[in-house]
Amino acid sequence: MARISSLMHLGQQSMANSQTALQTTSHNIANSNTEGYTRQRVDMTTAEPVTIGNHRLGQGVKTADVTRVTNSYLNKQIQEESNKLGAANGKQSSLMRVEQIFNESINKGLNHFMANFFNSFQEMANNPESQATRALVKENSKILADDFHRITGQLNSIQKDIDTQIHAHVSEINGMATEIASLNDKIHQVEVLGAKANDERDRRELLVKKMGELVNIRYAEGDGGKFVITVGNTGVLVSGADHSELFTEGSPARDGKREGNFEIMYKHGDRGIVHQITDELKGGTIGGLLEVRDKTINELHGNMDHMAFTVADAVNTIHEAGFDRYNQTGRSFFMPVQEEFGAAANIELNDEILRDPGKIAGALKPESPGDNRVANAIAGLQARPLFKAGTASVDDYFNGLVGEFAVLTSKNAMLQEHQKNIVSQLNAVRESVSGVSLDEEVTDMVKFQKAFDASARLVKTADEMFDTVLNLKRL
Amino acid sequence: MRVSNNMNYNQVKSSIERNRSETLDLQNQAATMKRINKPSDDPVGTARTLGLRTDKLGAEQHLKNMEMARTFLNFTEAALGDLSEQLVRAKELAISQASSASSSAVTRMATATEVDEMFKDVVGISNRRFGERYIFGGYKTTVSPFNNEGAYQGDDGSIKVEVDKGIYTSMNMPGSRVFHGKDFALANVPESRRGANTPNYPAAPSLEHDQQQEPVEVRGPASIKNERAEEATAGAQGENVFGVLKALSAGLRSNDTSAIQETLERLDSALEQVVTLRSQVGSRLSSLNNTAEGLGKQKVDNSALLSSIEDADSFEVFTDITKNENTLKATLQTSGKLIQPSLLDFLR
Repeated sequence: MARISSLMHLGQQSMANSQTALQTTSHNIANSNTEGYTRQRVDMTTAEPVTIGNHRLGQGVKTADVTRVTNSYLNKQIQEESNKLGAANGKQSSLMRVEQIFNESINKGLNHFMANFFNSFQEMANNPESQATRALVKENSKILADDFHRITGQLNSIQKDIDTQIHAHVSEINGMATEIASLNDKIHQVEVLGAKANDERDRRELLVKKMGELVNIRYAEGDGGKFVITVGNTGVLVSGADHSELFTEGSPARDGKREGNFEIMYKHGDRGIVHQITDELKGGTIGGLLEVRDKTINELHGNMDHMAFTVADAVNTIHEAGFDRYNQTGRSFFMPVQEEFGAAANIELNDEILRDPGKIAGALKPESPGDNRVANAIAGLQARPLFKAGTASVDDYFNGLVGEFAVLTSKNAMLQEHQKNIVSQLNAVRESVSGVSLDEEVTDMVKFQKAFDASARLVKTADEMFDTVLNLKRL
Repeated sequence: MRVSNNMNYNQVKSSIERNRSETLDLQNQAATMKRINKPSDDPVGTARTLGLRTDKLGAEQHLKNMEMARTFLNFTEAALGDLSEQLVRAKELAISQASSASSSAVTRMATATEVDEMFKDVVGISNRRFGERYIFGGYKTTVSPFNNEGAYQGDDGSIKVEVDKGIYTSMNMPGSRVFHGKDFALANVPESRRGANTPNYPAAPSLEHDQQQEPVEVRGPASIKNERAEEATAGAQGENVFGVLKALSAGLRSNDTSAIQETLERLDSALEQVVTLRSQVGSRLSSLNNTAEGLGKQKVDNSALLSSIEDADSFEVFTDITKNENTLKATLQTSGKLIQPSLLDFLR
């Protein structure tokens, strides 16, 4: 036979339960805009029933668990695609800057100055006796050399800037690693007692995703819900409650990397075993930045050097055979460049010519002020196939270079757009599963409130029943 | 499908963002009226526009070169015209004084003085300058090419300028050829006359010789050989204008009619030499004009092509902007309606 006190107890349990559910609902509503938040649900089960006589009587409800509504496979996918998106973003931000160096749709650039350089030699061939045309050659040559310097200078400053960005991202990663390690610890402490550390897990997943946007990582959940995170191939960044750190360091040149650019170093724990992991970092923003810094820009440096060296060398060879106004011969036009590496940065007009344009050689014979054959020959270099094993002129070479780079940039822009769409699609799927719907929460709120009201009525009814029983003898 | 609130917001956000970024791009195109504002907008087009711009600058330079060559050649032509007038006058004098019927020793002496004056005039013509440059000195343009005796101090240099890619035109006529007939052969010049009076040239190696010694391959001047082949015959010898005038003067002074007769013939071939060279200058000028016309046309075609590659189609741009504007309005309107209502609005 059921007891009134049991009825009261059941009502009380039910009220408490509804409160728990309402608490969770309000938690969901409060966090509906929290990044990485996963909606939570109260799992309710019936309480253990009792057998009284021939009847198995229900004892109300109990809260089994508060769980997250999530799809861990989806999260993994988002993390992987975000990594690719990070790489495309990192590349694009620097490629767009490099692109501006070669943008001649509005400003004048190397292509223009190169044409002017050769044209001024034609102008000089028109009137080799004149000092004015020589001054023109001097000015245009100086502008050409300066533009080579501008390009290398800007490429260098973009490389430096990428270093600063990498440095900032590395400290971000260190910050995240610290937080993940402490979350690992907290999750372990909470879950060892049986409860679910929902909010901590959300936060950790978000951090892992963000770290994955920056750099390629591998992660796995170990004992006690602790994450082990490896950066690149070998850098175990987080293991349980312990974390290691990364740092950056300017270092000498090595294959593919210029002197002074940052290496990314991994320092294990406090014991301080340090090794370089730059080459292991392929994906994510950092990977993208590194690729642009060490591959794309260095290739461009090499191409500009090749161009400056070849042009200077060809001009010098002809110029040295010519005679200037003072019947002197054998002078180089540009300062002799010894090696191709760094030629674009070092190309300079011969000091003597800079001081006196009369020392520009235009004649093939001495004592012939009207002889313009050397000037003509230098002007003719513009169309000579000096590049790509005698198949491309200097214009072909440079224009091809700009075209190739433009293809690289537009391809990456497309990839970025594509990747953005994939990630936002995946995020939409995740939102559909784990996101908070206010309508749903409000419905739940009404639902649980009604349940609470009804439970309260139950207690009141039980109370009235007690009254009835107590007043029996007065009746 | 379960739709959470953030899905709505994200969708609205990304639609508006996409639309705004497209509009920005279109506005940029409208502002610059260019389809290609950075290389990645059209990599192939960019490489082509760079090439076309170089071509345009090259064509402008070639037009400048041609203008220079044209004025130089016009000036040379005028000088050659004056020279031929002098020679015609000399011939007239020689004819009038060649027969004993119309002239005497006295008139011949007087004519000799006139011929001597004429000689000085011709020296003057041979030393004409265009700006600071002596036009008949070959490469030696800063010293007078002929002395008072008519001896040549210049060289045979042919000043070439590029008038089109790889095509060079000579803008001068060396004095050695005009006045001394060096490398000049006329079919009708009698064999006996050739090499009659070889002037004393300063030791200047011939151009062909230079060509062999030239350490670098010079693209244009390769065409020198062809051009010279049609204009000059190496080693051939035409008439020495100064020599003829001197001979005429000497014949007149010595009252030697047969010598005057002989100069008459030589005057004829000298005149022919000058007229032929003048016509060569003329044909260079007309070919320059042709090239200039072609180049001018090419420049226009070039600009048209450049424009077709990099310029925005304004009609298309503005249509697209309007289209985008409408899409944006629609997005904003529907978003406004979509986001606002929630169950809360209906629970009282």
